[in-house]
Amino acid sequence: MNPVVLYGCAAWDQARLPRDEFEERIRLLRERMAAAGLYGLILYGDSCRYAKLCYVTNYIPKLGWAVAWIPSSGDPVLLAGVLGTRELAEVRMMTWLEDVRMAAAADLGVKLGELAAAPAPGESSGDVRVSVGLCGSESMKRSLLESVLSGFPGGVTEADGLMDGLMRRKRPRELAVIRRACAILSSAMASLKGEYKRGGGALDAAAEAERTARALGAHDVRVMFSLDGGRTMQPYENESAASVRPEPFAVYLAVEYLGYWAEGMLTIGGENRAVNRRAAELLRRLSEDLRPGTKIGELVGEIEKAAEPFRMHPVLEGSWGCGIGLGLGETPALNPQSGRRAESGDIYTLRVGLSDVERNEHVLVSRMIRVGDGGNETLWEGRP
Amino acid sequence: MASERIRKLLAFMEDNGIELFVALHGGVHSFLEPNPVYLLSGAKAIGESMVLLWRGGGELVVTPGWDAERIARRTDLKVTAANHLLPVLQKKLAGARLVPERIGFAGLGEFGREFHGAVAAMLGHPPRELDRELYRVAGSVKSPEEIERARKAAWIAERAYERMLECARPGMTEYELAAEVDRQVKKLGADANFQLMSASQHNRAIRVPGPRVLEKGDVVLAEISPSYEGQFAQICRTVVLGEVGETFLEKYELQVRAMRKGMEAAVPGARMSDVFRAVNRLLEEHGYGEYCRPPWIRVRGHGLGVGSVLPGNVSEDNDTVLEKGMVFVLHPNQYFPETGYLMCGEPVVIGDGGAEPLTRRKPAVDFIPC
Repeated sequence: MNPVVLYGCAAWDQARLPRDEFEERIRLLRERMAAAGLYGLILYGDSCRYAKLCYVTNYIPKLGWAVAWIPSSGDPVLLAGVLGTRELAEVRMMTWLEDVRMAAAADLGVKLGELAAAPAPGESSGDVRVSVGLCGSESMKRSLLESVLSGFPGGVTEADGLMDGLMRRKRPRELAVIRRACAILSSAMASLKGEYKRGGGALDAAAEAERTARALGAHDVRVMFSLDGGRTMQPYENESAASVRPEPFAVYLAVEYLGYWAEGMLTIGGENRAVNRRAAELLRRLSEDLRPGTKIGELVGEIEKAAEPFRMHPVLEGSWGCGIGLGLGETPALNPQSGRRAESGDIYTLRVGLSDVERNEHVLVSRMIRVGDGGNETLWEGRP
Repeated sequence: MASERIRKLLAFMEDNGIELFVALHGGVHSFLEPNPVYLLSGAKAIGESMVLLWRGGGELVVTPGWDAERIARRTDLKVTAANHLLPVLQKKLAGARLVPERIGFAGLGEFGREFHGAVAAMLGHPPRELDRELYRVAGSVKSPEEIERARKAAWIAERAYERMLECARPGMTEYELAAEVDRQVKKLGADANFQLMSASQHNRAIRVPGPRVLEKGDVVLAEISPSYEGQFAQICRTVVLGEVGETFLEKYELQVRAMRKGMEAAVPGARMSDVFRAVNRLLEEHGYGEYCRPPWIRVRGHGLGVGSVLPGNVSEDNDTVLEKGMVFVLHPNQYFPETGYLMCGEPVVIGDGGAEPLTRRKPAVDFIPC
């Protein structure tokens, strides 16, 4: 939602995510690499799509890109596409990796090829190498991908699936960080409601929410709000929204803390309307019925039927939510076409948006949950 | 101005046998990257977007589709809602039945290999990429409206800096201070912001805000870059929590003089590299030549997007000739061994008489008693 370069609080929080956390992630990743016959793995990330890179390195590029080289043994290397060597000091503050180097798009493939060719500890230079995997190629600019591939004349193996399974079930420290992100989201929403209820306009309320999130350590914040009672949503545009006090007031707010996202949608006002009551009911059903083993497509199909005669709000883009963590849109997505099942430990953002077209009434609400064997845990819930 | 740019681009297309121009953008709005869709439409979409331009008309395709109504209020072009660009492009190309050489593209390099491959497959030919030509023909100077937006963005930056002076105090973290400044930027109507803010008793450079707690004696560095309706401006500032000695003031004054040298050199017809050398010359004369090169310093300023980032960097290797209406930030930020890194930078517009600052206040270091 209106992404720009990142400028919030950036640091490696060693209390919440210590070095041993990342060492364990690398160990698990290497097990999967070995099973897949991969000698090394290339992980790509940029300021928008950083999940896999950050999972292993803790690094999120504020602009530009970075690539991690993960050999099957030996030290990983972070190659950062920064503008100058001076910026490497800043990169080092955000990662536990000790070997951080500057790279340019043009020579990235050469550098990666050299790293792959270097003998690992205990290995002679004549040992035969098996294949190298690549994660994140779909996000890479063409020129960058071609540079990477130029370093591996024998080709690379697409390896995104290798990490998807690893990252789906959140580790305890990840869950703790997500809970903290949800707490920041709650504080930001409280600021927004406070500003609005004190008479502030839409712009002031949104800016106050963002200030609160950033002042609590959020690295990135995304805000959208509605000036027409929830029919359409918009990002910041100009000062004209300062004088508008929409009723009801629908907002979308997402905060990223140490790489992990929490998001929420809230509609302030209109609680007694039929469309609001239906949305609240659907959100409750989704939250309760998305249990370990639930067929996602079947459940969502039932929710869609139960939504009638109201229409699904267009901002939902056909999905009633998705997994959330290091990405705002992780798998599985909650749509009727899904053939997947929910699993214990999954974390979802559940989004319900309905429109009563005849009455021109609209509502957007959401909740974050963690699916559990003994019942689901609500991580965040908006209360108007 | 979008229509004036389109007129210029259509003339270029006519001269070069281009019958359809396709400008693409991926949705990441950075002040250091150009946005050909914004350049031609004046609209900044949330997701991927595309302008299709031909002699008889033009069309802006935006994703996600639900954002189209908002975008239609911000452009004169016909707006089409879509969930994905490729199917729309495929339909247009099939309908146009043009030979590939007669179709020009800009912004394609921002997309991945799959997207590029799909376009090449539609054409049966590698796409003709004309980014450089687009910015040269239609993006070298800002329109009067964009210059006004840059002025407004600079005004917002100065108000945000005033907020920083009100708030900064020992005991708060860098990111708490940055949050206060950012709120002011957003409250005053900016659609985006980029901000660096960090502090130390002796800075080596500026960086994104972190958890460091401000202390008495800190030199706080700030780079505030609001965007107003798609046009960025940037100011660079230095604030001291407490007091400093004469040496500090001397070095800052030297930096301000270097800024003036740069402004004097930035006249229509001069090159960006001339501005770079003018800034450095004074500092070199005072014995800081070693610190006027990487890794200490990379550039002395840069263009400001999001439409076009021309005239580019204030750097030794940029021979772009300055023209009236160009906008960029001139920032002779400098590391001095005696004081650490100090910042001063103003957005400027090139007028008939040379560089005019878009800010009101003269560069000066500020002090917060504590």
